[in-house]
Amino acid sequence: MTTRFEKNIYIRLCLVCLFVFVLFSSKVFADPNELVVGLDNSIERLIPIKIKTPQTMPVSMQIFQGLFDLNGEGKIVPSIIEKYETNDNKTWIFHVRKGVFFHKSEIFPDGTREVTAEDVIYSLQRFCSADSFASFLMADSVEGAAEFTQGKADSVKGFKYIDRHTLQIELKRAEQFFINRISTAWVAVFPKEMDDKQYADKSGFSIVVGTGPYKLVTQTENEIILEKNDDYWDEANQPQINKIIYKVIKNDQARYINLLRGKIDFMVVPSSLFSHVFTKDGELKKKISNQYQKKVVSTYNTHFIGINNKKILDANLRLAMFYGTDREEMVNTILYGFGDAMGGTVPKGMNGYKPLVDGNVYDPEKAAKFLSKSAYKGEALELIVHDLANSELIGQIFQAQMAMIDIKIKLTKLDFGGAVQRILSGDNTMFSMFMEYVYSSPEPILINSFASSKIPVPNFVSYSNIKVDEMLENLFHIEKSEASIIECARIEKRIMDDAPAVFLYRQKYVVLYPKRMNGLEINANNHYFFEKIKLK
Amino acid sequence: MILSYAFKRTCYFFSIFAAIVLISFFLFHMIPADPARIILGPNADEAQVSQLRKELGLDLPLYTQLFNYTKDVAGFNFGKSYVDGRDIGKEILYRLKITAALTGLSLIITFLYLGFVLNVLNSRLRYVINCIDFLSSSVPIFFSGIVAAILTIYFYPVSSFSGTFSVNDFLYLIPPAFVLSLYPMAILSGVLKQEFSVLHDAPFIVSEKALGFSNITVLFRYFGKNAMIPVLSTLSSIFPIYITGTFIVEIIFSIPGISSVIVKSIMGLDFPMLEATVIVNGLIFILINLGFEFVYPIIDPRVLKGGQG
Repeated sequence: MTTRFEKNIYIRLCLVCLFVFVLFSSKVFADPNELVVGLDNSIERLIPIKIKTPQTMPVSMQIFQGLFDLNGEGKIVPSIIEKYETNDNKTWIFHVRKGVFFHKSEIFPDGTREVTAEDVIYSLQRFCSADSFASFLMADSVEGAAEFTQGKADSVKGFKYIDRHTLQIELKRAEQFFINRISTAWVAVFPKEMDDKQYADKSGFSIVVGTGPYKLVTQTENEIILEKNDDYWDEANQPQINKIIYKVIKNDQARYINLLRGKIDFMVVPSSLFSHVFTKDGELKKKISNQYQKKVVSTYNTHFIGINNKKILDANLRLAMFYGTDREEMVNTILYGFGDAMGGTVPKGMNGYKPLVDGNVYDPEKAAKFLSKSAYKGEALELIVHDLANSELIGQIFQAQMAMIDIKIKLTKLDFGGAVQRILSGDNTMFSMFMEYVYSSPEPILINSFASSKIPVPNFVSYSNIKVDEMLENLFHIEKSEASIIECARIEKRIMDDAPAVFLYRQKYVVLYPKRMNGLEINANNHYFFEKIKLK
Repeated sequence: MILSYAFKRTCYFFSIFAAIVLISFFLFHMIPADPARIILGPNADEAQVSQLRKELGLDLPLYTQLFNYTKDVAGFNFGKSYVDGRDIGKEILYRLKITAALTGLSLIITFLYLGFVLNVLNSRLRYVINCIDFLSSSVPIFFSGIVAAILTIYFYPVSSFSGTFSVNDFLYLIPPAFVLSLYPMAILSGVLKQEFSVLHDAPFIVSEKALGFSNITVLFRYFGKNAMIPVLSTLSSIFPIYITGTFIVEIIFSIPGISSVIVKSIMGLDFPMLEATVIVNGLIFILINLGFEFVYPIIDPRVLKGGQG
């Protein structure tokens, strides 16, 4: 039944398909003035007060800018707030930078407008509201912030408008480290028009208005396109890259192959790919070093084994686990060495911090000594692990290391949400968890993590010690930052003497980007300063 | 008689739909997790979480929540997502378009293949077709999907689905649509071959040829028309394979269709989105089945009499 005519239909059809395919697929390769970034997950709605995931922040920080920011060395630098002053660490005067305009948008009758003190106050107040993910940042510090969060006040009493470019923040009490609470670009300035009811369905999706070097063009779940802001205020750092395209490729291998094939330019190397990307010396393999360079970033994160101090009351048992954990082995096994072993919770170098409990505090002899003093009878201790941040692998290594000192660990794997739920309910013995710190000084970290008043949130390990509470309270009375940092090291040492948790390491992120680009700067909050990149 | 038949079938499918709504509500509300806590994160204090719980109506008794929920569903108002406040109805519609594009493309590939099979049944290529059919029906979709995804990454010029329905997006959908169509292709090809063997020497085909009709006329007008009835009948029974297959294919190829929203909602405990997705999926299945229920009597009137169709 087959005829030449019928065969030809199919041949013609195939040829047409091939032609269309070649015609359109030829447009998929990237422009040299564009940067295609591979993301491992979709981002959230781009409303600053709702952002919480590490995938979203690097994108939002291109669009929105904070009051301050951290540079690559971890120093606070001015951003929307040009300068600030205080005489008593209680009343702070902020001067808003003049000549900063929001991105052009339909939400403004005149297309755009200048950022004023009113916008800063509005944004800060929104960050204190009940539906904000970040309300904890200022709840303890700013006068009336907690009352506003709880719905007991209509506005935050401590925020006062002085003039178009000046505002005042009144704290509950003197706090020399207040700026370190809000130094992240996460605490961003956005226009109140974004919250207008008529834009309720578009805000954070198609309407995303900030002041940053890049502005949103389009976004879908799998692709976000930003283009440079031609009216960017920072004359010294005008972006050279015209367009940034974020592509979500969830599979690590697929993202890496796309990088090798030149379909994406930039990616963070997940630990699952370390053996593919690096030699045993931690250098890039040749096939990748021809096109790409690496940048290693020390971020403010901590991975730890939390111990429920209400369940494991025996300090000797906790100390046995603390000293029986070989952090260096974890860093080498999980991260190919791209991490710093930590004895305490505060990352080394944060605001000049020098921990007294530093590096790998692994000491099997001490561990054996503490275990012999403990009342441990050989029962299995449950450790909750989850599906993020190598938690399960950490749990397995920890289990093996504890077995070597005769402590039995039983792993229970839950999804991340389930694990958080168990931790907050107090129904846990131990858990593997991580912290991404948005503070840039040790004081708020220690206060939030270990003060008795912070049980159960965010003192997740339910640690309580009256002496430590007094020491933490004393931090508010220290006027000089240097003295306060030294005191923090003492406090952390005192806390670790009780081993409320086993702190493991601070992970370093490794970023791959093209050799045609120079000057990439990344800070510890994962802010990629793409506007500083110079194209060769 | 046809009205009575239609009424009975509609009541039957409506009762299934009501069961889907109830089961989805109770199932997701029985999960021991607090969406308010998930939304606000571990740093929020309990007062803040309680306030949000109140705003979301999660503090109300379960029967009140169910009443409010069924009232909203009846009006096709699925509300807002817990996670990011987006309109669920619009979101599901957008996702459905993507899934529909994938399924539609898959159907096109299936019929192109059947056309090809029809062309080569008399040639030696039929042995190749037999081999392809055997492999397509034997290899599970998750395996063929992964193999196709790897090949796509290495050799295909389009590497991601942007969701803007650009030409590149449609090009990207070709490999997953091909994977999705593999099993139905093999089944339908088998039916077509079976019909061909029966009809090839049928007296009416022989007589049409003897009357001097061209091969193409005989093929499409006489053979095709008769062979299509069992093919369509089989397609109706295997159509759900396309829908269930998209759940696997969309995950493997990172396509933001309806299945990816289910996974995302489960991970984020976004109950309203999850319930709406399950309900809409159920509704689609019901409507497709209902559609076929009305087509059967047209193809075979014996169904109306309660006879075997």
